[in-house]
Amino acid sequence: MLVGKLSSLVRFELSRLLRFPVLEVIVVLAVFNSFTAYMSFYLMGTYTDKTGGSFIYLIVLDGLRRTFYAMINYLFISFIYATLTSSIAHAISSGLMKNLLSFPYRRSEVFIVESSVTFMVPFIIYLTAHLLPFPFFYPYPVQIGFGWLKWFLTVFLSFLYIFSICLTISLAFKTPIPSFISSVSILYAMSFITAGLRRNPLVNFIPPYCFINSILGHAHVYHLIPSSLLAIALIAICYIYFTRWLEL
Amino acid sequence: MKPFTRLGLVLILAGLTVLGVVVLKSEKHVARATISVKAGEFETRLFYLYERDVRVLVEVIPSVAKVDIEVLDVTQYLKFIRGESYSHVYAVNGTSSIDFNFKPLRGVYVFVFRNSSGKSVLIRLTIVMEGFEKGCFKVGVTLLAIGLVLIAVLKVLQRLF
Repeated sequence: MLVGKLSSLVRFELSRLLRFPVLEVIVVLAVFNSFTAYMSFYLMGTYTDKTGGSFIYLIVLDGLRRTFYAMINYLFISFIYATLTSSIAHAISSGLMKNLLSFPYRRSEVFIVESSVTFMVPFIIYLTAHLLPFPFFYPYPVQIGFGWLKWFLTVFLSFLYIFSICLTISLAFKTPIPSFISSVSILYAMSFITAGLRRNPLVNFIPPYCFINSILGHAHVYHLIPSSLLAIALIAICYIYFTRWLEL
Repeated sequence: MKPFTRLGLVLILAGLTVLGVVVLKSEKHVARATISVKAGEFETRLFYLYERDVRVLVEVIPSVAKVDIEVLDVTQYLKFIRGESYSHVYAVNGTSSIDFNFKPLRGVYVFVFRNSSGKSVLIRLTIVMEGFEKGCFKVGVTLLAIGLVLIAVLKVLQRLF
């Protein structure tokens, strides 16, 4: 019963959030980002490992690392999440959210469905657009193992961090255009400020360089803890605000 | 918009995006490397080459010295490092400078420079890639064609029923 009720809510949110041309724009940006990154690999360097099978393993693993690295494109991801979360702000300002809550849905259900759909759709599209062409560009039969899990986790947390900031701003402003502009501005400002601290060892803890350095191998997984905790805390605050204090 | 029409549109846009990237990345790309090879030894360099027109220029310093040059794909290189018999994409023996073209498939290629002379040499390698990437171009056209066919079929079906 609950699953059926929530699935209809998921379908509604999907059709609302991915209305024309939002889905198309996400796909175009993801495909552009993916193919631009794949077609920018030229010099592979010298692989001094001359132990037979592991030589090609190193090349494929390096290719996969570059693919995950390409996914952390701050420019496009910030734009996509700012657009999608400002659509939540639009639902609040236009009265659509009030109508939605007049149906037998709890506020917590609406929040969970809305935020899950908003977060997962760009993440899945990006992952598909980047990983699907991988065998096309690296057609070598190699068992990669689990070396890529750290990079996957990094990309997931990087998306979660951007999403949490955009969601918080959209709920704070409750109107689409200011929330879009503020989300993009704050994320870019953070990026530029952190760029000035690039030589500081603390930069490994600050987004977006904690994610970039994690994939490049200059930072460990524990360097991602502060930004992950910040993202989880922001989403928790948004949940409490939406379910208890938001006046519609 | 109906789901299949939307899918067709998404495929068309994805195809156009791939074609756009192919055009964007069709500019001439030059990769240069200077490789030092000791007397009686060999050196290898790896390059990821695309399905584009590739021109390779090799210059040996000093010009009186001569080296053997081989271009191998990954399978051939694996045989080479295991000491098995192998074929090659391109090979030339005892040259001091060479300029050749070849059309690689997308993937990693290994350039092997063997110095059989008695002195160390320096090799200046220049790889020039130009033209459209044919494999990606086919992917873009295929996506575009599938999208167009899907939309056309849906239009025909709509008129019929």
